[in-house]
Formats: sequence, structure tokens, C-alpha cells
Amino acid sequence: MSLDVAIRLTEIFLALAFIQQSIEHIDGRNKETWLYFAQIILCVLLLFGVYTPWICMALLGIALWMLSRYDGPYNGGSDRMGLLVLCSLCLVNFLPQGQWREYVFGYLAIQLVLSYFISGWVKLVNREWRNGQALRDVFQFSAYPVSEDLRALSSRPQLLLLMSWAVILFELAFPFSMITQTSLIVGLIVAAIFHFANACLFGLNRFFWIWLTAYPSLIWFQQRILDFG
Amino acid sequence: MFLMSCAERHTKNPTEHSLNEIVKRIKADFGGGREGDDGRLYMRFRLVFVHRDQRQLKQTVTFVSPAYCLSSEVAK
Repeated sequence: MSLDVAIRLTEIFLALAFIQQSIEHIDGRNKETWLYFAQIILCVLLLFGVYTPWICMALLGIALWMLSRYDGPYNGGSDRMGLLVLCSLCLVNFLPQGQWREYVFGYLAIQLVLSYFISGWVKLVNREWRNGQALRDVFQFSAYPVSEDLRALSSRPQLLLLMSWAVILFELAFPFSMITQTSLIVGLIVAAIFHFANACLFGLNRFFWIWLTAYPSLIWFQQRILDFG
Repeated sequence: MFLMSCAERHTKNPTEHSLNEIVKRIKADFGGGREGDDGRLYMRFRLVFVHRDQRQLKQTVTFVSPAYCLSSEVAK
């Protein structure tokens, strides 16, 4: 995948992810509804590649306003990832053709890899994750919108222990998926299934869409490293 | 998730912003309320955090709000 194709795919995925996020805020009772309408219009323009650099800048302006409005990220990690992808797109669209664009998109790809590896490492050094207690607690009393049927999973410790270690090992092993193109595709499919499961089980739907937006950067980055080697 | 984040922020460092965001969302979804002496409906809320202590689950109330008027109209 060439850098230009990776950038274009990232723009398309980000536009779709932001449209989905904006729709959540469209509510007659919400004073800021007009701003989310504006964001949707900007995303449609981004989707079709119209005035892309300036559209990215306008979206960044809205994202910064949201940081101020909500006194931090509205939706935690997913908003941080969205901002990282958006900043990367702003930079690559304004930087001249050349190595600096590659550095920016390479940085985004490395951040994606680290997002899995560090998350796995934090779980590994946490005793509650190693013995399955953390996942039991999540199902039993977390504030996530877990359905009552799913809360019953908290009484199946063996299954949750298995799930805990499956998540830990997958996240720690993710960087090794970059060894070959096939292993990376498999790694990204497993990662997408992981995010999809989190969306279904815990209502973390924003994470699914926004993490997908960074995948083209990693596919390009791996190809770039293999070509370099 | 934002509501949870506001609850955590308000417990660690109470601000008008986090309080207003919580009140705004509760008011938008709340269908009940208790009638006050003036005949209007009021609500209060508290922030309760659940945590594990050894094998037991424990609840800690970190904040109890004042009463908020739900409508300017007198309840029938």
C-alpha cells in the first residue's frame, strides 16, 4: 500500500467514524447540535476529498473546542486516538511531499502498535488481570452498560480467566504480527474482532470505529519497513 | 462513559463543570422527582463507587447533591 493510498483510506475511515460520533450528539435538547451538524458536513467533504487540508484543519478546530467544552476528552481513549489520527492527517496534508510525511504516518503506526502492547503489559503486571478477577469485576459491577444476561458471566471464573489471558497474550504478541504481511492482516482482523466484542459486550462502540482508522497507517508502515529491509 | 468520567472527576476534584454535566444528564432522563413544600418537583443524586475489598464488594458514597428543581411548574 502506498503512502497516498494509506492517507486517503485513513481520511475516509476517520470521516465515517466522526459522522457516527456526531450522530450520537444530534438531539433537539442539546444546544451544541448545530456544531455536530457542521462536523457531519465537514466529514462528508472529507469523505469525498474536497479541500482536504482545510477540512482537516476545521475538524481539528472543532475537536479542540470539544476538549475545552467537555473539560477533556468526551469519550476517553477513543477521543484521544481520534485526535491523534486527525492531527496526523493535518500534518501530512500540509507537509510537502517527502520524508516528513512518512515520519508522521510512521509515528501514527507506532502509536497503534504501542496502544495494544502497553495495554497488554499493564494487564500482565496487574494481579487481578492475571487471576481473572478484573474481568469478573467488570462483568459483575462495572458502570459499563453490560446487560443482565452478560453479568451472569461473572459467575464463570474459568471462562473469564481464559478470556483474560487471551486478551493479555494477544495484546503483547501484537507487535510480532508485523513480521509478515499475512501475520499483520491476521493480527488486525483479530484486533478488529476484539474491538467489536468490546462494543457488543460493554458498549464501547467508538473504540471499534476509531481504531480501524489507524489500520491503513500500519499496513503502509510494515510495507515500508519490509521494502527498506 | 462521559457521565462516569464526570463522576470520577467530581470525586477527585469537584468543579462546577462536572457537577453541571451530571445534573444536565440526569434531568434529561429522569422521569420522577419528589414534591417539595412549594409543590414543585425536586431531585437529588449521590455518587456511589463500588470497589472490591478482599472478597467483598464495598460501596463508598463520595458525594450527595443538594436538591435540584425539575420544573418551574407546581406538581398536581
